Amino acid sequence: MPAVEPALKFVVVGLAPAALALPAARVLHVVAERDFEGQALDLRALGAAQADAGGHVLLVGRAGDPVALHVCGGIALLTARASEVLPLPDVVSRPAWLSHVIAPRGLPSVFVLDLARLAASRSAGCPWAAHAVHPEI
Amino acid sequence: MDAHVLPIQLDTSWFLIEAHHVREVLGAEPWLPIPRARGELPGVIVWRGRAVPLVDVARVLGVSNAGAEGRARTLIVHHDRGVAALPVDAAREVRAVAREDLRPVHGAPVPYATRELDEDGAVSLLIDVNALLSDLDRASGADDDAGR
Repeated sequence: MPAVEPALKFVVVGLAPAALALPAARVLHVVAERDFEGQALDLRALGAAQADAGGHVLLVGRAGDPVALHVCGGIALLTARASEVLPLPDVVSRPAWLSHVIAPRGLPSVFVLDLARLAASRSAGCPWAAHAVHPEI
Repeated sequence: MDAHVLPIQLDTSWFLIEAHHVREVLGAEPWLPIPRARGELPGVIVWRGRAVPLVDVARVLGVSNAGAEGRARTLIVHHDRGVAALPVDAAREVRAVAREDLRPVHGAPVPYATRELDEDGAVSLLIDVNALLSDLDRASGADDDAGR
């Protein structure tokens, strides 16, 4: 019986080629921006291929100490085989705060945000500024 | 003793790179643009199951700022710190050139040009791929084992 390759699940924001993926297991909550109040890293410039798409705040990382990411674009769940999730070389990953690229059939399609680095650094030095998100009244 | 060089074309200019750096010459490869990337390192391709940075060598050499799109060939090159993909317009067969014919470049007409080959007035510059790619790695703040 052939070995079954592990499948990895991602939350994907936006449309290719501007989409951005996050490991689904690390996404604790997805909140509509109108329902969120607090500080969030502003990632709306990434994944914003859909001009008319609404915004969301993703709470990622540890349950007791999540990082809030303000994103723009449709949200979808993506399953990829482990062999399709390729680590990025440092020359790419370090400045961009990206960890992997998802490449089905060898076609690079979506970058994966480096959540481990975000969590470890508490987002200090990351390229996205934190800003306040207020609920709609 | 001969040097083995690969002639490559960027726009209307021809350059030489040492053939031992070249792993493969591919056609135009699909690449994914990196968000907020600088122009020299605009994207990533996939080669043999690994993610490889795309280096806009024409921009680095000051030949063109037109971008990496539309170039018909992609060179996969190996250097001290890893592997990179270089989009070029054309590549010819590897040539053997007498080392004494590769003379030191006078001045700095093009960054990373270390030697030149003058053939009846047609001058081709030899590009130091290792120095070029290592500088890009360092500029990105990559670790010493970057891209391996």
